[in-house]
This record gives sequence, C-alpha cells and structure tokens, in this order.
Amino acid sequence: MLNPPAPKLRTKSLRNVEKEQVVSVGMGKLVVTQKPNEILTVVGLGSCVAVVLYDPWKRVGAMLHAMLPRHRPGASVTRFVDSGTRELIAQVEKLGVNIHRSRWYLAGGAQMLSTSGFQDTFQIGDKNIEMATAVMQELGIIPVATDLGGTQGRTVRLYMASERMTVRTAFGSERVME
Amino acid sequence: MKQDREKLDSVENTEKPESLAFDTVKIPPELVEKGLHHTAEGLSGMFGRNILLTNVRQTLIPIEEALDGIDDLESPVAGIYLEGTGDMPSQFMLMIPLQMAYRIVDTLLMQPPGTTNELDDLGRSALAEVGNVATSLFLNEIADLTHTDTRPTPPSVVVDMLGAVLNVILLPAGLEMDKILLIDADFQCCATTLNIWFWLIPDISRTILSRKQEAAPYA
Repeated sequence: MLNPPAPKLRTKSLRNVEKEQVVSVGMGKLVVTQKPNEILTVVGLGSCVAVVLYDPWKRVGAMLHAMLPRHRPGASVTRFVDSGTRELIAQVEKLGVNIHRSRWYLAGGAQMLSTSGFQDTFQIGDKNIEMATAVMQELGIIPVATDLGGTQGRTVRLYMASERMTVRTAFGSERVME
Repeated sequence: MKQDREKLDSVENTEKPESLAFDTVKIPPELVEKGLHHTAEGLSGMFGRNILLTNVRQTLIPIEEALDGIDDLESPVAGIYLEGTGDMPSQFMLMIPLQMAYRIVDTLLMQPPGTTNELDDLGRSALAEVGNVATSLFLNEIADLTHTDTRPTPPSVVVDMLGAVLNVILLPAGLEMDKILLIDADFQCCATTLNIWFWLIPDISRTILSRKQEAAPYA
C-alpha cells in the first residue's frame, strides 16, 4: 500500500495568481479542475460524502459530492460513492494523474437526526462512510485526512492555489485537513 | 387528465407533474395549496398573529438539482422533520432561519424578545410543536379532502447548515428516484417577517418497499 507523497510546497503568493474563483460542487456532482485559481467547495454537506483528490505534481484537483453509497443502475454515476469514485479516477487519469501519488481526503457522512424512530432513514451517513472507506481500501489508498461521521454538517474546500483542503462544521471555524 | 393538466398550468413548475402521487392517492396541486392554507390558519392561531401562505411551488426536478439556486446553504437553520404515514408516505421538513427560530421560541414561551439565544430542550420542544401543528393540519386537510388515512410521526428538531438539513429529506428520496416532486412553501407574518420554509417530498421509496413486501408472500 502506498502512502501519499508529501505535498510539493509552493512559494507563489496568492497575490500573484489570478483572482480566486469558488466552484460549488452540487449534490451528486463531480468537478475536476486544473485551474490554480479555483476553490472547489461543497457547502452544507450532511449525510453526503465528499471524496477529494489533489495531485500536487499535475496540479489537478477533483471533488465528488456523493449522496448515496451504492450505484443503482440507470441513475447518474456521480450520485453514488462507489461509481462516483470510479468516475473521478477515470477523469483524473485522463489528465495523467497517478492516483497513488495523489492526496485523498474524505469528509461527511454525518447523522443529522438521532431520533430512534427515524433510524432506517438516517443510516445513510454511516453507509456512505462504510462505502467510501471500502473503496479506498480496495484501491490501496490511505487518505491524508478524513473528517467523517458525527452529527454536524460540514463545508469542505479545496484551495487549488495553496493546495490546502479545509473543513468547517456548523458553528465552527475553518481548519486545514492534514 | 386534460383537467389535471389545466390545473397544473396554474402552478409554477420546471416540469409539469401529474399530481402529488402516492401509492393509492393522487392529489391535485390545488388541494395541496388548500392544505397549506389550512396550515397557515393553524399557525396563525398558534402564534396569535396573521400568518400568510405567500408562495407555493410544486416542481418535478432531478434530485441533483434540488439545491440549485439556493443562495446560502451554509446559513444556520432549525429544521423540524416529520414523516407522513398511512396512505400518503412522505417526508416533511420545516426550516426556519435560526435567529427567527429563537424569536418563535420566545413568542411561544411568552418570553421577552431576545431571551432565547440557543436551543435547549424546551426550545426544541416548542419548535417541534410548530412542526407538529403545521404538518398535522396539512395532512388532516388532505386526508379529509381525499377520504384517506394519514398521520404524521412525532417531530425531530435539528439545528445545522441549511444544506446539511436538506440532506435529511433528499437522500432517502435518491435511493429510488431520479426526479422528485418537491412542494416548497413560504409562510410570512407581515409584522414580524416570519419566514418558515416548508418542503414536502412524497416518499415513493417507502411506497415501492411496501409494494414489494406485499407482493412477496405471493411470489
């Protein structure tokens, strides 16, 4: 199993790059970018899971906002953790990314309501986490950082310019995932 | 069907749904609106103020697009979640901006405005009652109009980012559906700008599940 490489440090100041642009990754969507000025973000991630890749050599970032664990035939592949991650890999490999030399992050899978009567409805977060973890294991990948489970929503951001991945929970402050 | 289509033409839609369809019940959009007006009347009684139903949108949309166009998914809200059971399995989420939720708690508990600045058990219980009243009135009206049997579950209250709260009702729908019929209503009280945002999604997944379970003994 390969560990992700240490990030290549960039000395370029944010002032020297084009103005940063926030790209919101919608529910059930995948965004892949090579633009250094972009910030990929999922805002208000609840039981959904964000699967994130950053390749510090190719400067490629990818963020999947998966809603559910297992693909259902006929539905969009990026709605699901398993098929969405495969699609993410297919798209970044076209750009020359080596997924084993890239930095991976997982976030989300919260249990938003804990009322016992709704247990069936709210196991989705746990199942998303199980699937994301299983997919990573199958690929032989150890994420650089994870922020999974709990009972609070999250906002995650991948800053392409500074190569940082951050997470913020409701009523919390933004912190770097490392 | 033609009549249904004409009724639907008066409703703002991205794609025209036939009606609010459950396993055995189909509810035309104007009955949904009637149910929501009944909810507004009930909330008016609860708050002692005139609460109006200001907007109703009934849209059939791809589930991935349900959150598109919502400005601030990170804003804190109180969400009150209930499920409809019986003939109309459904999910309800009432969302109230958190500061507004605090004001509602103060009103219901007859406290001076500004007393509540976090939700304790009593505050959550007060908000749960708002959800209970709103949903019960809606379902009772629909049940009366359609001669069906339906009841809400006890409510559950969550405080979090708007996007995360909406995950609660969208994800179960995504298990079985690619498009959802979303009923989205706004309530306002002129004097106090009371904003309550109401989402209803018919739970087709449970309908399908119950159908499968019913079919199993004969398989």
